[in-house]
Amino acid sequence: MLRYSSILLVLAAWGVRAGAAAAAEPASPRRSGPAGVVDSEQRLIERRAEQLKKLPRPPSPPDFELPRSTKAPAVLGPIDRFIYTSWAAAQLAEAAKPPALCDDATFCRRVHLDLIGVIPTVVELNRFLADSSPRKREKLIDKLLARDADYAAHWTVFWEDALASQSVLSQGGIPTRGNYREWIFGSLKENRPYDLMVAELIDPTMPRRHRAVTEDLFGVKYNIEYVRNEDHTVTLQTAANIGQVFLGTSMKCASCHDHFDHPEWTQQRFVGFASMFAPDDLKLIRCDVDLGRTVPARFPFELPRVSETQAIPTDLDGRLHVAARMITDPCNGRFAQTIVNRLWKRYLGLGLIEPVDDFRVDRPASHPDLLAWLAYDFVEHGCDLKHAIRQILNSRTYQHRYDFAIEDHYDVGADTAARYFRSPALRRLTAEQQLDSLRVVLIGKLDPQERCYLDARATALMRALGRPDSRNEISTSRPDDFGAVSALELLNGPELHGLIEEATLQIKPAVRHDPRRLVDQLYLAALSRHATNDEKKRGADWFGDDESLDEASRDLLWALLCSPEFQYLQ
Amino acid sequence: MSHVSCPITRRGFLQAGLAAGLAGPTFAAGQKQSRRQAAQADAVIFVWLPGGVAQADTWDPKQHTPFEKGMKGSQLLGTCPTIPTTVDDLRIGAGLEQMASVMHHATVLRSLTSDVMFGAVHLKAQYRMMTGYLFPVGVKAPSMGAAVARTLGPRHPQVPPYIYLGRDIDTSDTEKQFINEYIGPGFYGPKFAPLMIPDPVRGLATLGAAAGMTTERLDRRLKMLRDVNGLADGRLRGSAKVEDYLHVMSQAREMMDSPVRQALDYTSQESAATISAYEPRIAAEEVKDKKYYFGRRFGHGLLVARRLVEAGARFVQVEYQYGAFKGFDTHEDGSTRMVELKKQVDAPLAQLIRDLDARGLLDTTLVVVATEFGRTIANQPKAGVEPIGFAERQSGDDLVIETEKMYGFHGHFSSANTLLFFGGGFKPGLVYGRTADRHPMTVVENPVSLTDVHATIYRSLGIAPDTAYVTEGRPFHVTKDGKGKPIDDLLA
Repeated sequence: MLRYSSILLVLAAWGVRAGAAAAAEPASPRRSGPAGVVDSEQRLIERRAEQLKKLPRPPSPPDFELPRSTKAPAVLGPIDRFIYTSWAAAQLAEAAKPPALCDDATFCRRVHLDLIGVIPTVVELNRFLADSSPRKREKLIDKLLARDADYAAHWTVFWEDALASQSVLSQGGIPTRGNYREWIFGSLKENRPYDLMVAELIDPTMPRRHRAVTEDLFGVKYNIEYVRNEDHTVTLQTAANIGQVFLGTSMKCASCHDHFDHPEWTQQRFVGFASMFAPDDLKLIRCDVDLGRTVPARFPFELPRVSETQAIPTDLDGRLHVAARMITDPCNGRFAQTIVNRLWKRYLGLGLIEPVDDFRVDRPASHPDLLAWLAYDFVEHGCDLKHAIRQILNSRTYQHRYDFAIEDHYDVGADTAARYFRSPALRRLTAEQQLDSLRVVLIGKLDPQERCYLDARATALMRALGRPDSRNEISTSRPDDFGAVSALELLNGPELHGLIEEATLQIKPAVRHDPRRLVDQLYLAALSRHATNDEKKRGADWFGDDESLDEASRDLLWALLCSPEFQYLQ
Repeated sequence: MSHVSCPITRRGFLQAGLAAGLAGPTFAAGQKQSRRQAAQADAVIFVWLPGGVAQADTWDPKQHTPFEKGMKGSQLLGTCPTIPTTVDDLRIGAGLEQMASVMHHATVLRSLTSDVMFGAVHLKAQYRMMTGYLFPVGVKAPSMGAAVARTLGPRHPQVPPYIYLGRDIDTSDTEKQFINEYIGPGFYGPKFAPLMIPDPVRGLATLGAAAGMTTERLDRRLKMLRDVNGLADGRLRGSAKVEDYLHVMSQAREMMDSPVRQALDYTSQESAATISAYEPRIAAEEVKDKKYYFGRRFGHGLLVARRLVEAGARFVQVEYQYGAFKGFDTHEDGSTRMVELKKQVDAPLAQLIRDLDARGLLDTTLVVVATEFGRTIANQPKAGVEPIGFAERQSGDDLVIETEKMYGFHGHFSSANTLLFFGGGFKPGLVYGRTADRHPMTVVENPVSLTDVHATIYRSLGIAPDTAYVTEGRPFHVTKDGKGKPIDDLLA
């Protein structure tokens, strides 16, 4: 059962409470690492730059002129030039008449949910709407990226799913993969270069090498390696997880036979990769039958520009060191492409490559040049996640208005359908986004210590909103569909009902006698926009006498919170 | 030992299915029809007794050897007397007199064995029983209930196809979270999640208006929701996702007035005699562990399961709630605890079978009674000292039994497990497979694998064992790697 300790729905009192509205601490200056560490990390950073020089530069963004009639910002960024050119090539009407951008209120809500995982407070929204600067969208993006703790908190959910982070050492007597929460949060808050983060998980020679510090039921702490290789099976799983999460390549199916549906992936190729994470070359075991030979450690992709390809060490630490180097090497294009593709999907709703966990030669990107450009730009800027995010969010493409008529779809059964990104794809909010936003609606603020991701439970309401019961398998996506059992929980579940009923309504007398204003304020609080005249008119019809005002307000609040406009990010 | 998918030999067949864009079963519509004709059952009641039911005290008893101080483990064969049943030559453990009277409807499978030795780990064995896969799989494996719900869909539009009775919605510790995961829909997602009814005696809060609400107010809220959406931007309203979302919300509202609610209203619709027939034959004050007594929850759960099947449910699971060292997880004192547990389940289970039979539902309804693994009888030193494979080799010769506690000691046993099936096209009155009469009492005749048991259950429902759904770009089958083969001998 989900209960907030204190709930206060403050209507018409936002201005007074402005001081409490900021959802998190201000940005702190970036700390430098401990002395001595920086130097050896520096070597990896220098190597990144050297290797990048060996790569041919990606295609430059093509020239594309917007029609003169286009409203500001009429300047196309590099991303837009790739995207808009593809419309011209496909002879889409939007090439001549670009789709409109979303309005400021929608942008403000979208970018808050995308960057810090929670809707803006009314104060934040009003401040943004009142800003007359022509570059106010860019400023808001920077401002939210600088709220490093909130930014990190939002991303932590994704990476905890992807690493199968668990707070306990074993679950039901079965060892877990360990607790990565603090490391994820800390690394993202600090905006650590992404390649360093990944190397820290794999490479034992990294100065800030990370082992998940995990407690057992008695509070005793243990260090858990990310690379687990105590037996054949878990070694294969480690390799498959690394392949999926960091190289966007689904290899699991090749772990005990040639990949059934993926001719690129022979079992030999996969087991050779897995041997890189094992102290000894792994046996080839085909569907429970030991074929009596081992597979030498071998990186599964040809990397002619990477010197380590030639000699894989025979000791485990050496292998892991080389594996981390090869995985994160700029010349291993999959590494950067996988993460920028994930970012693209996160912010546009669909990847340039779909499925994002299953790059294959027979599944080209919708915009291969753009993907290559984004990946190169990401590495060139030091594998800086915030840089790549800034690139995407400042594009017109990200800021398009949502429109179902021109949105793209991906269907596993029809994966050749073109994707144009004329509109973002509609995304369902995660359970964490919804419940944290609910706090902002009902209390007017979000205490960083009370964010949903810190809650160890998966209550009926959280599950109805798509939070997994348990992170005992890795996952890089949350379900975005919705079933009747979940709907019952929204419709009638005691948790959501309790949150709304327990909220303290403070309706000012002036508003009490002006139902249209009351409706407007509820819309503003829940949906981050003013109600239209029609909405005010219809809404006012629901409010009767003074006695039922409170109940009707809560009912409207429920309807707004359960409306598609709240449930989905457009 | 493999932990992920093995090849599907029907490569072309499956690829054809994938290419045709079937997110659903991999057989084409025409084939589906012919496969469905083989179906006997269109509904399942899965009676889930997790914890590891001691087969030797219940469905696979051995010679009763009463306690004698200083007896050897190898001399101890059975801790309970046996009783005859309505099937010639079939004897079951004393305390199951009601079940004895319905065994002519039962198929008793005594030879389920496992190539995996689960040792002390219940949840791994439960995960495998529920999903068919060995944890960790690499993906979130769906439970059998979800697979049936997804493949066959609802029998009645307003009755969720997968309903789960008798388990608390409690995520306060990671073990319970793990359990929620493997009884759930896995990667199928929330559309195939079970409707959880923790305690049928109390009904289901979400089917009535929430506390302090009236149905009128709820409907006003829904009207507001429709109005709010109706006035929203048309570019949002037209989205198929939004339409589906609102459709599902209406479905949920309809469900509140649905046959599910009617099914839960058994106290006003069933006779007192029927209700009482579903009750355990043990009172709260007789139970030794007062903290682990769920009263009528399990028994009434079976009654509600029958009513749900009548109302159009597809797959109903009824759990006798698992707790570590509680319920069927007997270790020390196992024999005396089993006496209590049999009193809990004997009458309600037998009544379910009688009821289904009397209503002519046994042909089309499959009842499965299952647990994750079997139990030894006093051939291990004590709880926690159960190295993997240990029990499977023990003769009991080295063990001297000094106390009654030790006499009743029941350890985990992966090598032999008994399952019961009723109806659904299974052969009534059949006893299949045999375990040794002396320790370590492993399977000596017709061993079967869990994968094939799953295939047999799916066959009863007309679901092909290689039915698969795509996740992360690859097919994931309802039986392990699509390889299950139905055990024809079990089916009529």
